[in-house]
Amino acid sequence: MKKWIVSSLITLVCSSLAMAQDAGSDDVLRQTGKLYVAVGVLLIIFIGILLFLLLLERKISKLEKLIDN
Amino acid sequence: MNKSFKKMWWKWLGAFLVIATILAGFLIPLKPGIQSIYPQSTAAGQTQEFKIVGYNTHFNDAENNIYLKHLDDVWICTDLIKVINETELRAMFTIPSNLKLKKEYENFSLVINNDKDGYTLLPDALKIKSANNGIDRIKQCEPELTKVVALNFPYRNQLKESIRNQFFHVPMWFAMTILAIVSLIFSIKYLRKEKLQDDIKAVAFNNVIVLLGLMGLATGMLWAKYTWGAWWNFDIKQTTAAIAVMIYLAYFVLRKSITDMDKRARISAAFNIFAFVSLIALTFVIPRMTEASQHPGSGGNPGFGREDLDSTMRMVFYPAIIGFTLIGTWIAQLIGRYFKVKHHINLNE
Repeated sequence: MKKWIVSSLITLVCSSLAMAQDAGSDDVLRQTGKLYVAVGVLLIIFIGILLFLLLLERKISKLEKLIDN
Repeated sequence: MNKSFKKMWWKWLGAFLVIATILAGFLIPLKPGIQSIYPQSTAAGQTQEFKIVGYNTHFNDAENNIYLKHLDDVWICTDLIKVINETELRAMFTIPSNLKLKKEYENFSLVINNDKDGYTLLPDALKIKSANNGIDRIKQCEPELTKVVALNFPYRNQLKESIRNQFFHVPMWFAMTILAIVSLIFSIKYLRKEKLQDDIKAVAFNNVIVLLGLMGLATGMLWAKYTWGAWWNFDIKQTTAAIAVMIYLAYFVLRKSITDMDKRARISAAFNIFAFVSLIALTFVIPRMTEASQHPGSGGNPGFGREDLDSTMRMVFYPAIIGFTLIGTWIAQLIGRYFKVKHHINLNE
């Protein structure tokens, strides 16, 4: 179960990173008055918090293993 | 009021403020503005048709009046306006042949007054060549300037919609600085009383400081790519901010290298004071002393002049800072609780 959560989170992060790279082409980001620059910035913040959650999740998993043993 | 709400209220407030920031930051429109005018030069005595492109304008919806102005001395009015669509029109101007300017070429601003949008101005839109002799004060017509009160953000040609990053990129750094002050207080507290819980709290806050710093750098790089042209411009504030984040990263490297618990806590608390002082010096002092930064607020200017941040933006910007700071504190609290539990488990083993 835990592994499933971690792997699905990694998939989510990777896919959103890939999407961010897709949006990296000049055309999309310069269209509609650079609105997607602001969307990209928001996406970076979201991914940053998500990666942080992932790190915390791993640390807590290690602690849980310590208790179980 | 139950107990959990009393403990949780500031977390809810933080979440609410961030959500409100995202909604207001994206839904409030930009002011109508002028994107471009072509050609960008003409001379006294000439009749010239200009192609003018607007942004968020409503040229078709209401009557337009277009002027070229130089200071308040010269006002030149259109002969003819051909509206092509909401954001594009052609304007014909006849520059008076007796227009004698102080210099051979002077910059003129373009003013468009629209009965629905109000007036908008493009400073230094074009250059006009002076006549050899004549007068320097001409008012071809009485300018009509409509003021419209509306909820919107300022239009900047270079930024356009990305001005909304003011509510996401900048609060990263503000929240980081506020949390750095909190972390500093816990470090000083540790040095005075030597209680390990203060050390744990300082570490927890420094985790969030690094997270916010890295997100600030990443968001700044994306914004820089589409306004300054490159991911990394070696802008003085970009460079000093990166150094500041690295100093906070070094805090964790330092902690890893010391195994004795009390020694580690004491040395890293002292290092944290150094890190805070360098953060202030690197992000507040040094960039203001140089003229070269493209960030607003360099060269001794206040960071947020009225032109960069109007009252509508302040209404969203300040809650954004509080919101991101509270969310950061929430994350720090979670990490602190994790370290507390870990510490107890290690003691029991």
